[in-house]
Parts: sequence; C-alpha cells; structure tokens
Amino acid sequence: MSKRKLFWTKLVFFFSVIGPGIIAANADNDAGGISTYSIVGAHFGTKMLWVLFLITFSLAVTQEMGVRIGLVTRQGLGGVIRERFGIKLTAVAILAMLVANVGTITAEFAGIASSLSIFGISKFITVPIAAFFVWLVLYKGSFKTAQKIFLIFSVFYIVYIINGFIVKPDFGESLRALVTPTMEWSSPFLLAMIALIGTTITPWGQFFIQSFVVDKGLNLKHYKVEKAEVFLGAFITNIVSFFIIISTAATLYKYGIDIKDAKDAALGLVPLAGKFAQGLFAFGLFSASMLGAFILPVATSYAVCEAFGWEYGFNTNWQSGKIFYSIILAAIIIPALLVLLPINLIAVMLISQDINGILLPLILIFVMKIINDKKIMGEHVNKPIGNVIAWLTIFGIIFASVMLLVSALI
Amino acid sequence: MLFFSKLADVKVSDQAETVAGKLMDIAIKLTPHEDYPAIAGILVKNGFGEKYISSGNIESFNHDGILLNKKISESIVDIPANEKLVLLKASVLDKQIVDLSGIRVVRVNDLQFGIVKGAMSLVALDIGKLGILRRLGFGSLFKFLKPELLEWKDVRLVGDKLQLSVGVEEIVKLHPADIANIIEKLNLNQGSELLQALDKKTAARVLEELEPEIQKILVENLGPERATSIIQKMSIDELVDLIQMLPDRKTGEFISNLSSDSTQKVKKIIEYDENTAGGLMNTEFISAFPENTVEEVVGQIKKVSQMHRGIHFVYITDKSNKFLGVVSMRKLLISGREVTMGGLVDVKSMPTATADQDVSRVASIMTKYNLLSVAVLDKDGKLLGVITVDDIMRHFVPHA
Repeated sequence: MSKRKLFWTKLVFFFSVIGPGIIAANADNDAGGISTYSIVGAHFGTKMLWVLFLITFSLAVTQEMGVRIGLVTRQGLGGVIRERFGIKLTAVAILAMLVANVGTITAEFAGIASSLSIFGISKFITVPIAAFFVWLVLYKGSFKTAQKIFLIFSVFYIVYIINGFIVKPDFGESLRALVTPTMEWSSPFLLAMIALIGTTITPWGQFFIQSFVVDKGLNLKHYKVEKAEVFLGAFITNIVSFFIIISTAATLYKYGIDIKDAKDAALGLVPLAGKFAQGLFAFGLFSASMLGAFILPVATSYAVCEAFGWEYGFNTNWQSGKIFYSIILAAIIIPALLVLLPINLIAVMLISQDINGILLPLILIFVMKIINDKKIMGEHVNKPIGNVIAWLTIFGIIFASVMLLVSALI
Repeated sequence: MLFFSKLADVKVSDQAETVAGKLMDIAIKLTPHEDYPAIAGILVKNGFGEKYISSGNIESFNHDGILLNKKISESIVDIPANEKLVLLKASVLDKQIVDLSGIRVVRVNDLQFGIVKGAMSLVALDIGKLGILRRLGFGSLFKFLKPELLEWKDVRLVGDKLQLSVGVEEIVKLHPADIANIIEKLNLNQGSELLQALDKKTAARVLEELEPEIQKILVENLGPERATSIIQKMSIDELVDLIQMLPDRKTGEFISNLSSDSTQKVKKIIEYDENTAGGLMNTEFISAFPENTVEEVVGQIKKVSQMHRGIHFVYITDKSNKFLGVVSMRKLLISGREVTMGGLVDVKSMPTATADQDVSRVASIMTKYNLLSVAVLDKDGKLLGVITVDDIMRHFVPHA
C-alpha cells in the first residue's frame, strides 16, 4: 500500500471506530433541536440551562447503554425487545417509536419548509421536491453518501459557538444558571422543558445508536473507545445547544421578541452574521433537517422490520424488501403531507419534540429492563450509578409530563 | 389446528377438574430427521414455580384447556435436566430462524400444532403477518390474509448449537453465495457459529462470498487460530484481499498462522497495491512448458483440478518462467494426445498485463480483446499470476 493510501485507511478507520456517538449526537441537533433550543433561549432566557446541564449526563448514560446492549447482543433494540418481551410489548414499543418518529420527520420537513421560506419559496414547492429527493436517494441506495454530505454541513453549528462569544453574554450568569434550578409551573414553560429533554434524548436516538454499533460490527473490545466517544458526543452536542440558547437569550429574549417563524429564530445569529444571519440560519436549518430526513425514515424502517422479522437493508430489492421500502416511503409521505396542512411550522417543530419527550420514558424503561437482565447482559449489566441517573431521568420526564397535563387542566 | 398463541396461559387440569397451573411452554425432543416432531411435554406454572408434565400424561390439547389423564400429583415432575428438550417458547418463538426453503432469515411469530401419527406434534412455524396479528389478538379480523407457514424440517435455529450440528448438512447443500446472504442477516455471534458449523472448505467458499466488511468482522471475531484453518482454504487472491483489510498489527498474526506454502504466495501478492494488477492477480494457475504434450497437461489438470475454481487456459512458459502464450481448454480437447504445447500456443501476440498496471487499465484490455483471463507479467516478461474476469467483476462490484 502506498503512503497516501495508508493515510486514508487510517482516517477511515478513525471515523469508523469513533463514529456512532458523534453522529448520533450530531443528528440530535436537527430541525426540532435547533428550533427548540432557539425557543427555549428566546422565550425563557437562561432559565432552563440547568435542565440542559442535567440531561447532558442523562444523554451520555442512555446512549452508552444503547452501545453496550448493541455490543453484547449484536442486535438492534427492536430485535432485543422482541426476544425478551414477546410480541405484545414489542408492538407497544414499536408503536410508540413510530408516533415519535413520524413526529420528528414531520419536524424535519417543517425545518426544510421554513428554512427555504426565508427566501420566499413556498412550502408547496419545497416539501414535495425534498420528499421526492430523499426517497430517490434512499431508493437508489446512496444513503451513506447523503449522510456524510449533510454531516459535513452540520459543522455549521460552530457558527453558534462563535456567535455565542460575539454577543458577549454574561458567562458568569450563564454558568450560574447551569447549576441553579429555576422552575415555572406554567404550560408554556413545561412544554418547552419537555421538548428540550425530548429533542436531546430521543426514542429514535436510542434505536439508532444501537443499530449503528451492530452494523459497524464493533465488538466488546471497542467498548472503552465507544464509551469515551459517546460521552464526548453528548458533551459536544450540548455545548452547541448551550450556545444556541445563550445566543437567542442574549438577543431575542433581551428585547422580548417571541419566535413565530424561522426569520425570528435567525435573529439570534445577527451579532455574528449581520444581514447574512437569515441566509446562514437557513443554510444550517436546511442541512440539519435534510440530515434528519435521511436518517429517520431508514432508522424507523430498520427497527420495525427487525422487530417483526421482515427482510431489511439496502441490499434487498423491491421484491424481497417490499415492506422495508414501503415503511420508508410511508415515513416520508405522511410527514410531508402533514407539513402541507395549514399549520405553524415552528409550533410543529416544538410539539413534535414534546411527543418525543413524553414517549421517551416508555422506551427507556424497556432499555432499563434489558440492561439489568443478567441473562442478556451477563457481566455487563448496569452499575448502580447508571441506574440512578437513568431512573431519575425517566421519573423526571414522567413528572414533568404529569405537571404539564395538570397545568393544562387548571 | 392449534396455535401456541391460543394455548399459552390456558389452564392445565386433571379429570377431577383440579387445576395444575397455566401452560407456560411446550417442549419437543430434538431428533434430526423428524418432519413433524411430537410434543414431549409441557411446562406448567403454578404458585410453586415451574413444573413439567410429560405428554404421556396428557389426555387432550384444546384452546380452552389441557386435560390430564392422571391425577396431578402423579403426573407433575421437576423439569428434566438431561433430556435434549427444545423449549419452543424460550428458544423458538420470537427468535430468528434460517428458512432453508426461502434462503432467508425470518422471525417466528406463532407455532402451529396438529395430530400427526396419533400424537400432538409441531406442524408448522408461522412467520407471516397473520401470525403477528393473531398473537396481538386481532387474528379473527384478518382471516383474509394468507398464513405464511414453514415446516420444521425446512428451518434451522441459529442460536442453538445443538440444532445446528444436526441440521448443517442441509445448509451445506446451498450455494455458498446463499449461505453468505444468510450469514449477513444474522448477528455476529450467530453468524460465526454457523460458519464454524460448516466444513472448512464450504466455510472458505462462504467467506469469499461475504461482503468485505462482514468478512473482516467475522474473521476478527473468530481470532487468528480458528480463522486460519478456514481462510487457508480460500483462494489466494481472496485471502490476500482479506488480509489487506485487517489492521496492520493483526496481519502478522494471521500470516504466521498460515502454512509456509500459503505464506509465500500471500507475501508475493501483498507487495502490490490492491488497485494494481499485482494486487488482484491469482498465483494459482496451470502452466506448462512448450515441449509438454497434451496428454501430460491433461494428466496434470486431472490431478490438481479440485484446487482451482475454473480452468480456462494453460499458461505456457519457458524454463526461466518467461511467458510465451496460452493454450485454451478447447484446443486441448480437440487436439491429438501427442501434440506439444509449442504447436498449440497462439502465434498471435496475446495481450498481457504488468503487475504495476492499474486495475481499470487491465479491465479495459480485457474488454477490448474479449479476454476471460489475462496473464500478469513482471518487467522481464516473467509470468507472475493471472487475473480472471470474475476478479475484475468483484473488484468493481464488491457488494453484489
């Protein structure tokens, strides 16, 4: 092998081992993510930073559990749930995932629509074209290439970090807010809070990271590297979230502007980009939405097919993988149609993350049962600290969801 | 027909209507050549835990309940430990199985029982959508769906070492490419178990057919010692491709485990970049000298033919290994036994490749001159190896 080639092999190897955690974490900052973090900062300033601080640990712990189950069982989460809990509970878990994922894909298309609406292009043009493009790329089997392209685009998030320094926020106060719990028992606050959790730790992320580890063919000796990578990924993604929140807090919240559409959210970038803020924001939101729109339909179909024993993967053809492709197609068309209804796109992006947040405990309970099952995990069952963090997360979300219901009723 | 979905949790009682507990699982005995294995017994759960009732003590199976022909106290025993029982719920239902008739991996949604030769037996495994819906309690609403059933004799449990060892001969009958497809669908542990259950030669062919990434993972999972006995049987060019994919520090481990003969051949090819003719070529081919007769060459082919996958040409060299030309199989067939290779070799100059040529260059030479294979020479015109058209295909379409 020539020198040049060796370099590339090494680079590929580097990416192939330290992939899943970073990719999953990065894909977390999708359309729902950007809009939720923007709204959290714009409407509530730095009041919710403590939640972000806590769920960084939750994200790290839950993703690490997904990696561990994948490494030990060599199966996706859908398959493990099916073998451990039988078909009825599998149907419940898969249904919950389907609802959450359709919601998230709807948010991705809403992201595509609203990013391009900044340039005045109607969603009736952009959404059908984007949906068709996504389907075409997936059907032609160029999934991995598309994923890489949009992953590279997602470097865009760095602009938020730079922006975060330019707005010269009060870092002392922000850091204090990270460790100072502030609560408001109102519906808008609870809605934004659950969305914040639900966009950071997601049902699909749990399925995705496990399948990723299995597909990459990583095994237990990669565990330490993977663990470190997952922790790093959780840290990086929430650093970005932190800067999105303080960017909009220092701009929109300061002047009391509510986010009603993408143009408002783009104002958060004005300190860095000035009059280019809208274009920059549109580019970032578009890339992030496209990345999600590629990954989610596939992740959804993988999980369903694995759980129910249907043939899946891009090496199947239309005949043998009919159900696999049908689910992908439905997971593109239904959300695309939903976005075309006369609805507020920003609200769609926020509400979908609430649905994710509310359904998340259900999926996490399955994960907890599996990871503490000696028959499945052997010596790799959870340590007490992991259990404590995960259960606190689960009960925290359930509590917040119940409070949301109560506050809505009062 | 009875279904496990409807038998699960039914009451098990004796003639006096005393309830022994609920049906938990159904056991069959593992016998290699049984098309419809009879039920050996059932697992019953009651307040005292799980117990076993042999099928000899069961009067009748029904969706409403299971009736015993003796008193409960006389029929209920601890779960026998030594018999080779397969617990259907624990190790078949909801698990992945290999469907030998359809050559694919599917999940078991339900189990169908019926009376065969007077005994209640496992008749079929339901792998269809109707099976899923029945388990969820919606079966009666979807009667119009066609059931998809597999017979026990057509499936292999992949997680089960016991059953693999019994059923492996049917798997071996499949084409290596089909076995490779099955392995790609299984998880790593199951896949490597299946691979190890095959005989070494079949395993090597299967390994050649696997996608490069999965090939690498499986071999690493097997470890150098177990893997070498299999990869030793692969053709040299495939073996080299595989070794080149492994991480550098592993390469040495694998090469040192190979026989010295293979090691030399591998080392010869591994010097070349994998995108050049040298990296792609195979060093196993049939060669002869110009003075050899047809009879001698045919005799040689008969001796070594099983080592080669396809023989299209005999490569003619002089004593110093300088390439002179080729003799096609057809010429060998139609020529008299005493004719020498020197008389048969193509007089037209045969296009050849050099070891450092790019693969795409070689491909265009082969396309231009309609060659099934091409000789690879070093700069002094000495024969190093050959590239066949399937090597080229695999290089450009690795995932087929």
